[in-house]
Amino acid sequence: MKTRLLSITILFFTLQTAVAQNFKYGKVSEAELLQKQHPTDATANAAILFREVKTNFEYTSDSGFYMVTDVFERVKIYTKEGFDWATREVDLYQGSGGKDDEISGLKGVTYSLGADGKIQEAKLKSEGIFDVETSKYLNQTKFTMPNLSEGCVIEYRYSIKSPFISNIDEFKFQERIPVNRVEVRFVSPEYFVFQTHQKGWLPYKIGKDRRDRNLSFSQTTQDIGDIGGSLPKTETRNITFKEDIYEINMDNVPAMKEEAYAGNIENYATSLKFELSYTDFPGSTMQTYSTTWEAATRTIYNTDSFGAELERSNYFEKDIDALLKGVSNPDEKIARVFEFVKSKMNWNSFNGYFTNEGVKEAYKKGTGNVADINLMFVAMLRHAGVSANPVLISTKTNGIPLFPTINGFNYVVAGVEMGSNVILLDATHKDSEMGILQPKILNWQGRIIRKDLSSDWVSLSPTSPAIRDAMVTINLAEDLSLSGETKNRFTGHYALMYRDDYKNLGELDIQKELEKDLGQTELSNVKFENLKVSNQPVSLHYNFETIDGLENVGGKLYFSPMAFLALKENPFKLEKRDYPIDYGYPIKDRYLVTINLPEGYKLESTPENAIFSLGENMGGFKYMISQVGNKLQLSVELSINDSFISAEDYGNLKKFYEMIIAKEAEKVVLIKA
Amino acid sequence: MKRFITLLLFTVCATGISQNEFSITSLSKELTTGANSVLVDEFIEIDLTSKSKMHYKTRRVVAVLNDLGNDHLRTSIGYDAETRVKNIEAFVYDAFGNEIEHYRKKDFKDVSAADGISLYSDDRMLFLHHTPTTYPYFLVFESEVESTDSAFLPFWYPLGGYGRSTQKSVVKVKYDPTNKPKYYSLNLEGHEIEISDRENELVFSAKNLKAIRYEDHSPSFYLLAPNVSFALDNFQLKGVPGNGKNWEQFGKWMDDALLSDVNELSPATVATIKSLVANETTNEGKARKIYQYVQDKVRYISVQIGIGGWKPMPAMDVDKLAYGDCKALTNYTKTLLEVAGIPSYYTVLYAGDDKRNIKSDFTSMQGNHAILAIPNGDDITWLECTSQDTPFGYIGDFTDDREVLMITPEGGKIARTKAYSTSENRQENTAKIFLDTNGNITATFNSISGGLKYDEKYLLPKRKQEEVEKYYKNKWSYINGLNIGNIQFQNNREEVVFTENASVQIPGYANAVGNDFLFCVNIFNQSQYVPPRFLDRKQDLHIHQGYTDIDTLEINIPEGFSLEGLPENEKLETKFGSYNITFEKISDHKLVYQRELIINKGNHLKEEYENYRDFRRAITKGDKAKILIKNTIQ
Repeated sequence: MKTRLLSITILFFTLQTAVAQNFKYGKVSEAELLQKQHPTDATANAAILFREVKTNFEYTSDSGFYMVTDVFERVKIYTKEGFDWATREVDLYQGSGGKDDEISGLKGVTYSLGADGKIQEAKLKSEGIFDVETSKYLNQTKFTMPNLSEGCVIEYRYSIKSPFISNIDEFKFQERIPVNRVEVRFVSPEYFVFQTHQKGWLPYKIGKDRRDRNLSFSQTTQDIGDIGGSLPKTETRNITFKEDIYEINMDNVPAMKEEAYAGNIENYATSLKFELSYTDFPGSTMQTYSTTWEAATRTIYNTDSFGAELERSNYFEKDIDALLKGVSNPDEKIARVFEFVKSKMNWNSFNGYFTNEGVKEAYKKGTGNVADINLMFVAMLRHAGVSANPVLISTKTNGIPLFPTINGFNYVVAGVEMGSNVILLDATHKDSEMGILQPKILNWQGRIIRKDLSSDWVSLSPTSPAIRDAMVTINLAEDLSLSGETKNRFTGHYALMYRDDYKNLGELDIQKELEKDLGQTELSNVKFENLKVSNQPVSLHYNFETIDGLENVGGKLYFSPMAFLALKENPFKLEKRDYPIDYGYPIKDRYLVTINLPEGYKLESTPENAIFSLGENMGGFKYMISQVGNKLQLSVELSINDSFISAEDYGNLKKFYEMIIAKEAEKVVLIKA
Repeated sequence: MKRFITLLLFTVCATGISQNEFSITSLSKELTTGANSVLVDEFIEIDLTSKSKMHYKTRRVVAVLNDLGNDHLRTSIGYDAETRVKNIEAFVYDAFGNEIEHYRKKDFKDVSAADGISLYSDDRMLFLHHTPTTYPYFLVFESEVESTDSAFLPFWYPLGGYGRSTQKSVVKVKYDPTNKPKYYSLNLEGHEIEISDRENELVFSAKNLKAIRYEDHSPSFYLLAPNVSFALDNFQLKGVPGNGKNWEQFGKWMDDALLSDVNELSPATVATIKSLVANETTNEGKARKIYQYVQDKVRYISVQIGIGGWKPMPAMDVDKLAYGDCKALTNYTKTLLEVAGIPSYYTVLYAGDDKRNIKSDFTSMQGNHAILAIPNGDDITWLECTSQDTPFGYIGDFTDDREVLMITPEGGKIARTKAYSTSENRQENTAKIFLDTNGNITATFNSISGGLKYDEKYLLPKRKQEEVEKYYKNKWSYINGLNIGNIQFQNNREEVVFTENASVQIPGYANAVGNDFLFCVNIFNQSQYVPPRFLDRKQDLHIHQGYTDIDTLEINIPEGFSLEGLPENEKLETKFGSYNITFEKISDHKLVYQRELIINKGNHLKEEYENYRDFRRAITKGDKAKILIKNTIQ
């Protein structure tokens, strides 16, 4: 009992000393400088010893309310690879009418231990600070700390003044290096009502409190009614209101680990987002920004460059009426309007759900952003009597929208509701087909919004697979060569992929591209069909020849019946994985191979038939081989039925591919007859 | 009268954009074949007649045939404090010559032109974002630029890149006869290109240049396509006058204007360096100590402001801030070496793996990187000063084997950096492999790398465990299901030798056929690469780098199995290199496999390309050689 008590006391005491660091600017300790590696993460190249971010609201009669955010960081650098953490970039958003972010009070010091064991300081000076006009909307202040060495500690602080209350950058608690302690304090007047959204897998608590705030500001007034004019009067005014205080403190936040195929890992960082849901000033009406998905969707719809654009129709009516003259079948109407918009409109490579130039101007010029084109498309379908609605989407690079916000989306397509089904159409891509969206926007789910402002989630994951059908004939010859022909047929997303990759290539480049990974195999008579015609499967025919396609070992001939079509490399190499695998769409690859055996040889053995399945019904592989006279018939089918496969199934998926590769590498053996 | 003038102007404009300039049908088939765009008409005027300013005017008409041609428009212009864009605009016409768009200066985006590596650069860029609505289309780009800089004159590339052709391109250089520009031309022969060198005017005009297709293993584009560089003997660089008729003079100017006032150090640093090398007796010993000191102290940060784009940051500042770009760090190292009494030369060159030379017979501002040269008898030791990991005297394929400009006290001198030989670029793999009765193998793997093979690997120890595993799995991607463990690296920086050790397990490596196994012998270095086929190759064959790979594998098979069907030994000798594999049965259960692959660097006629392909194909075939391991327990 006594020992136990003792150990607890000691533990408690050690913890106390460990935490008893001085996180005041300029109070870097020798202990911090002496530390050789991070106590809990030996692989860390650097660590945030302390991060403090404090946001307050200020007011002037000229600019109204604005935010002031003070940032202070102390960073320990263990290795040279950690030096990158001594160069920082601060984004300063530039609005219209002088509404800009501004930085002030940037200061920094690098601390290191000199040969004499004394702490040396090197101050950040103007030569290490750079202001960059990155674009019209963004300035950046970049700085890099002087005199770095392994083991040094750097500190810097600055303030940002920002008018963008409805669009606040998230507060980050987690980085690619450990964060020992982070303190965030966000204080906002009661007039601004925020919703908080937590992200990441580390739990944390948000402390909430309220206080009274007295704010005095000067106001200049001039009494116009006074004949002859009086001098403007400047007086100091006082207002009192309540303030909401949010506080978050976290200790020992581990570094985020890089993972393969995880995409943007920043999406998984532990962080907190403040989203303005409404403002409520005394004496004015409440203004809603967003609270729920319904509200966010409605906010978007009620904005002129969305909803009002959908209402316009006079600019296209004549053309569409002519286009649809005598057409009554709704499917035919959709198809015609879709082809019309695809051929008339040209995407200017900008995303967005708000129109840029406006549908009318875009229609006239034939170019537009995503919203210009697809909102126009929806309006045309509606005009044609089709029940069409816009579907808001977040592209893969924009991340999965985790909580309701209008910034959660950045793309819009058309959705045609047929019973309980929604068919999605994107007229920005020349080669797109009904129901086939580009993989870059196949991101989980989209939000359909109707005229009556009702809205719902719509799954973006396609249910029908991309299909490859290959008919292959292989002739084996005694000189160990292998030749034949292949007829491929591609549908759905496969067809889209082939169109994207091959449509503009010349004959020679097509051949080179197809031969790229074939090693010894050469192709001839390469012919694509329907690369430039959508709504038809893409077909690809070629003849092939593989010199030395067969192997002669000890007088017997060996070959893999899938020849050069066999899967050779496992796409999944790492042992484990934490994030789901995203195929984008289901796939089905079918091969029907006929092999003509060479004269003078007979079959000794073939691989055995096999069926592998992945999970309950996630995917499957079938390998069937049989002899018919002097021929071998092989049928191989690989299907992945789910667009998404969860991380728990990763091990099975990796194994599944290993088994397929091993199976397809198995040999047929021929002996002299 | 006024009205008349307006009318006249209007007529001039109308002829300026004559209809037949914008007719696709008037472009010859020869020009549209293999081209995504055609440079229909280009006129560039470089006016050097003013002493204080250079004027640069362009008018360019490009026919874009399909969306791959959109990248060929060259509708951007860089500028800085010395350069003013007086005019920039563009017109777009459809295939019938109807104007569909007119972009003015305000329609061009104005952005920072930082290269992505630099933390900061004061260079900026105006560029146009145009969305084509129809193909083909014509874009007319017009610009006028005025600059007080004349150290860099525009290049003339009548063919701008692969997959584009040129109907007509003209460059006219107007000059002051007291400062006549010189020029350096490449590949003008064999094309319809005329040069006229009249009084005060130098004109190059090209007609009907056919598109060049990209072919693998060919020399860099600038070595294939016609191009001309211009330079002045007397020029201005960011307000600093410069001159150089020959390298000697030019080097003196560089030394004077850019390097002479940036080499001071504080007494404390001088003392530190003196004591650092106090116990070293040789120059090399001292230089090694100082190089290590620099590597430990500084880091690479690139900041390009004004003349700082060309002049190194003072050594004193580097000492204080402990960072700098290639110029600053090279100059800093040079200054520290001086303290120890070791002479060294600031050296300018083109970095990159395409081994681009400083044009030794064309004295002008060239290069994009700086390194340091330490004369060492007849030899030169080269130091890359921006890396904190590169061994002393090692330069790798970023700066090897090319002509460079050294700034010596006697002026500029052209030298050649170290070329790594075929035998130096060596990788030796040895492995001991044990097969079990289920076809699984376990192996101990060892690999030793030198020369440029060292360059590929010496940073591996800095990567995280997972990334190192991924490196091996990608390297051996032809192996299905691989486990690798006990990875150990030794980086011998003194000798520039890198050693890897690992243990490897491969379940089911041997291919089961009935009760027997087919066993592919070359486990750790299978060549998968066959150069792509070009039915009508136009370019010569260029083999960029030579190397030597040696693999020695000892394969042990279990009791109850026997080695059958041993492949024939194979020996190939070609001008491209040699390939040699041997299979030697040591005992009933032990086989030794040896493979030696030598690839020679070199240039060959295009006719040799197919032979080179055949050689590489024979290698991939040889690397798949299999033995039959027979089950003897029936």
